[in-house]
Amino acid sequence: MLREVEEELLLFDPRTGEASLLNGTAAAIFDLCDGLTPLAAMAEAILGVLPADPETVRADVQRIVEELAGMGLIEAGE
Amino acid sequence: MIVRRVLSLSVGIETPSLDLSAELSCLTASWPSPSPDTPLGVVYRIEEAEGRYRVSWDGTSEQGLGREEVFCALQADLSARLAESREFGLLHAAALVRRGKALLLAGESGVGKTTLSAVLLKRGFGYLSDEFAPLSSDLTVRSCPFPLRLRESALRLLPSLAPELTLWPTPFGATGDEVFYGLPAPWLSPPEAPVPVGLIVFPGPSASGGGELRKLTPGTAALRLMALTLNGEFLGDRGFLMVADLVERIPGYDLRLGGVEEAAGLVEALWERIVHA
Repeated sequence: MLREVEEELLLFDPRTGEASLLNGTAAAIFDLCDGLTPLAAMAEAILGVLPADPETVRADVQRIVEELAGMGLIEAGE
Repeated sequence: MIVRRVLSLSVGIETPSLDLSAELSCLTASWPSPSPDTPLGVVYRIEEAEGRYRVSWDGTSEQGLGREEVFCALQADLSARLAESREFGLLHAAALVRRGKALLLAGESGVGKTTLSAVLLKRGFGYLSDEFAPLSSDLTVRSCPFPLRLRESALRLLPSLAPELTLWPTPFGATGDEVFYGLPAPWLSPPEAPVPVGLIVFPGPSASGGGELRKLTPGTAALRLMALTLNGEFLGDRGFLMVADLVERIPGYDLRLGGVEEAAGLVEALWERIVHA
């Protein structure tokens, strides 16, 4: 289950009873994880709304996607 | 037989000992009475033999109890029953009331909820609950008025508690840091009606020794409350949605406890600013 509260995203897995919280940036990246959008395009989308160093954003996107996959919230692709 | 109600559970307590019956009547005096036609959900039968006590209920019994342990046994069983409830979200929190709104002090045992509650009762808050705050989906809490459990070490930090709180003369618990029951005065008796939550505070120890309040994001407050929902496994999605609804509408604050009086002052000032502004 997902629930957006202010800019954060609360996630709840009823099978385990575990709750997790994504901050605004992680929530935006999670929204972009549709199985089709490549990491580079995700970084471009973030840079479109958030002025920041492109290299930092690309590294953050990579890290956050890996964390989301580690939390079992998305499946890692190719 | 003493007949009381804990939320929707009607409770009977039966003992042939007049002294013990009088004690248990005092300790449960602020629990409401069920309507006369309500069947009892549980009956605790207490027998005495050679100065020790045996409490039995529903085919279970505890034997060899000291007098001061009898009420603890009842309270432990009632707490376990509440923690299996599907009626409400049972938050590990103390709850107080002022001018029709509830203050939740949420946290694990030992973070200072009860000590802070005792000082806030002195400052004019009313009493709802010490350990368990039953939250309904309409974001109200109901009273669960077990006596406050105050550690002797905490009592040393507190000013005189009378007349708002009366300490039960017999302590219980581990020798060295015994626990006393604090009975709120009759005029602090909890309302029967559910009370809308107005503010959530998460007390915890201060690294610097000074008191500090910090607003939490709703998501952080939700994560903390999820971890403090004692019957979460029985609620599933409902518990999650209830907590998410709560943090969306009600602010949550982290409180670093320095001195307990200082902390109570911070909470009271915040309450007046946020809830009764």
